[in-house]
Amino acid sequence: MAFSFRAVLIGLAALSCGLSGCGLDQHPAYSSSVKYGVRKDPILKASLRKDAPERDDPDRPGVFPVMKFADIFKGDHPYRKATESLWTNGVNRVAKRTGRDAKAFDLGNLHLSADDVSDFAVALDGVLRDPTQISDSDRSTLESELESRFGTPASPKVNIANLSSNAAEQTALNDAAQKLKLDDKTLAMGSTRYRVHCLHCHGVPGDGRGPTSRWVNPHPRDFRAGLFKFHSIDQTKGASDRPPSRDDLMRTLREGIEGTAMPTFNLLTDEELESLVSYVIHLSIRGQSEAGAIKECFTWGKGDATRMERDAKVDVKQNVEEWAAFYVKKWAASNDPGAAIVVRPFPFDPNDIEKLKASVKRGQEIFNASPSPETIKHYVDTVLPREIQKEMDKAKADLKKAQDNLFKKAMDDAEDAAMDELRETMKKEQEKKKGSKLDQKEIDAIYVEADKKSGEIKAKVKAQEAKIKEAAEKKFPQLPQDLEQQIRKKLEPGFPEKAANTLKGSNCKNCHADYGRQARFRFDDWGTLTRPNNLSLGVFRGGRRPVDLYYRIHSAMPGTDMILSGTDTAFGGKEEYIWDLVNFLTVLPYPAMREKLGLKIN
Amino acid sequence: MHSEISIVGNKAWSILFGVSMIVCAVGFAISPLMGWWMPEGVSTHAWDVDFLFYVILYVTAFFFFLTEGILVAFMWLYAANDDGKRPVESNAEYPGFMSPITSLLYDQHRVELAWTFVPSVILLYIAFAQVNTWANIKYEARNKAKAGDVAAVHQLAVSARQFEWRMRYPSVHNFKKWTAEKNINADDFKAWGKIPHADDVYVVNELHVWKGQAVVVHLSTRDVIHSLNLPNFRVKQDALPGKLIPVYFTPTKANCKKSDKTGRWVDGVDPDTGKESKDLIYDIPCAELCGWGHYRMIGRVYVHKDQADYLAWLESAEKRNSQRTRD
Repeated sequence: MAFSFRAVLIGLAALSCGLSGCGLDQHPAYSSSVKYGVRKDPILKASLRKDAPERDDPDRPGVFPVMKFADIFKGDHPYRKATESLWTNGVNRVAKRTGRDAKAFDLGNLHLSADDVSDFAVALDGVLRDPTQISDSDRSTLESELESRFGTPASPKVNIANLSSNAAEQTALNDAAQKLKLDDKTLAMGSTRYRVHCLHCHGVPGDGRGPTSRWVNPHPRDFRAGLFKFHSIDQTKGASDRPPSRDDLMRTLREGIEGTAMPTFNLLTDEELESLVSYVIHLSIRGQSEAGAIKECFTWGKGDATRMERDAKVDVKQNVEEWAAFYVKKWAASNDPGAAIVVRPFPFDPNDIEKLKASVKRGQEIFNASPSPETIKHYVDTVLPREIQKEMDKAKADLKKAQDNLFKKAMDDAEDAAMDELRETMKKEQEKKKGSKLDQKEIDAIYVEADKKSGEIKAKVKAQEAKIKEAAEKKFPQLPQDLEQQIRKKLEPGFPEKAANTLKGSNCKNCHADYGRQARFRFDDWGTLTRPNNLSLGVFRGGRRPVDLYYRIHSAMPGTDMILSGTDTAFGGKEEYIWDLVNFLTVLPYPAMREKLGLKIN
Repeated sequence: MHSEISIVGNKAWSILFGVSMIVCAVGFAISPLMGWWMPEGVSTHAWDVDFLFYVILYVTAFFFFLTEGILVAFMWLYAANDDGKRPVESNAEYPGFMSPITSLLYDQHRVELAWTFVPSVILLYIAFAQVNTWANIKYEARNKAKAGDVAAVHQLAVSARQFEWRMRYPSVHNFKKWTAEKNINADDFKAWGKIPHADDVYVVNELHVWKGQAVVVHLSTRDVIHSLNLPNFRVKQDALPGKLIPVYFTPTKANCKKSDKTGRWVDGVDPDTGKESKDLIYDIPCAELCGWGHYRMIGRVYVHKDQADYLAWLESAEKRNSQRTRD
């Protein structure tokens, strides 16, 4: 009795102590003993999606594509098909080393020892690199180099000091880091917020494998690949894997990603969101540099060696620095105003139902790659005049240049003539004074004298500019009266065919089969299986604004099979039809609207 | 055993329960003053709910103190002696002042009657007292009438998902049309909750209504069970997979205005006086444990000062929603 009374008192005291800890610091920093470490999951060297066929696999929530290299050999791992062609090489290596019969291996049920896995790691190295094959000492070298550049979770940094020996380049790097807001203070704040709000899905190093990620389908984004699907960056200029801008990441944080487990964070303050964006960029640059170094700093020993060793030709420190500089610049480039997609103005009043109806119909035909004659005619009618105008503008610009040159030449000629005249009169005056012909020395003196007056002469000629221009203009070349007809004659033949070919080349339905209702799974660059969006549901992950759809169609999603449409072609009309596709997609999910606009999707 | 008892005394339990009772009483008395009480009710039915709450609270408080008081008193009076013996023999007489109770206790029939009759009256009272309040809050028929009474109608759809509230509003075009018609029986008005329109306005975590306007929220969920909890409005409704559940309330206090700086609407501010206050932030927490992110599933209610202000916001939201240019 008395004992339990005491227990009650002690329990109450413990409870009040425990509760009093609440609300002191809502965003405690990481413990300084937490490290990013060097990644252990395999790195995709070549994109698997290029060779991997479409598949009808069921959804696999909770199953990560590659946690460990050895997982690939278990049962029906999704990587199996993609890497199977290289498996026999692995079997041969194991057979050679152990003296076993290569034919006795059952590829469907491989039992591999640690050494066997190493053999396979060598064989598959062209597609996947297994970082666990790196020796512990090399790993710790790499880790300390990464830590000196990127810090620890408790004190993250992007250290760009002395990355370049070239002063101008170093200044550019400093500016880039400043533009990306990668200063220590912002990153430290971002790290504490990340720990509370993001870590459980996206993981400490941003690998998308936090504790809750297994229960999340689709999987959380792995920042280390540096690929982000939802962006507004023109991917048709330069590389097609440009990272998003800070504004794009801010938008994702504010709006969340509909249809996935990524919620909105719009109740956090702007300062907190900005710091999170900085931290995500930090994780991404770190992960990219890490992967780059793992790919470049190590090599397999010669012949039958089954251990990875340091590549003697590559210095780890230098390599990490090169990658860090490269990715800081790459991220900063996406924040240039010029990197953004230029959105073509919406071609008509969006409230004009008749025009919308026609646009949606064209959009559907393009989606299905079966343009009707009217649709082709529409694009010819809108694009051809634009192309003709382009050519005319070019011809006019050329002409203006030629005319300017002619005028400049006329002015120069006039100046030369005036100078000659001056010299001649001076010469004559001197001759009269002397009474005989001048010798070379005296002529030179006259030239020097005359040059002193060149300013005067120039002014004189300038005064007569209008007159000279008038005279020159009489000789100016002119554009032919029928220039437009000429250009039209040049462009028109074959234009409808070109247009038809371009329109037929938009293969939306190839992946979004039956408007996405029967889409099949495909690999993406993170190694996950994803399904092209079911567009009839009206769930658009990258945002549902028309301009978001425009971005997606124009510059697709890095890391996926989505095709860039923004590239200008010979037809020059690709950007033209993006709005038609956008209009079609915004109407597609709504039966009442489909009926109103006469759209049938069955 | 005896020595242990003597350390805390034989009356320890009565002291513990007595102190607990006093702590409860003091807490009960001071918590409204300390701001630990319910937030101010800002919907028309808030007082009806609060009234029922207080009735139940006071009834239970009364019986709590009564029974707890008797418990403490008896434990104090009849605690064991230091030698562990009972203080009163089992055949001892009760003191004379307790005769009204003892005479009752000796008549089992009347005891049964008493403790059946008193709670029944209380329970029946509570059962009947809540009927009207419940009907006013939950019944479609009553709330429809309310919506028709005023010059405009307001409806919106809330789709809960792990871990946010996705709101869908009728477009400005539809809103104006319905407002002009004042016809809440129009087919497209009635069906709007079930059938999304192509021109609907989508917003995350922001529930916009305006002062004095009855609103119907079409509540659904895309994944697991959630619960739409509007503590300031005394509204709480589970969202069940596969069901579209209407939720009705009428806000009575505005809490937001357009910021001159950003052009966005900010909450937590009285639009008339411009005074900022934490009490004017109306959260929408999820009230049903729905997964790991349950703790962070919070939206905000924005009560505009009038319909014009709401319409101005709706127009700005629609503009953002149908953005066709970069900025």
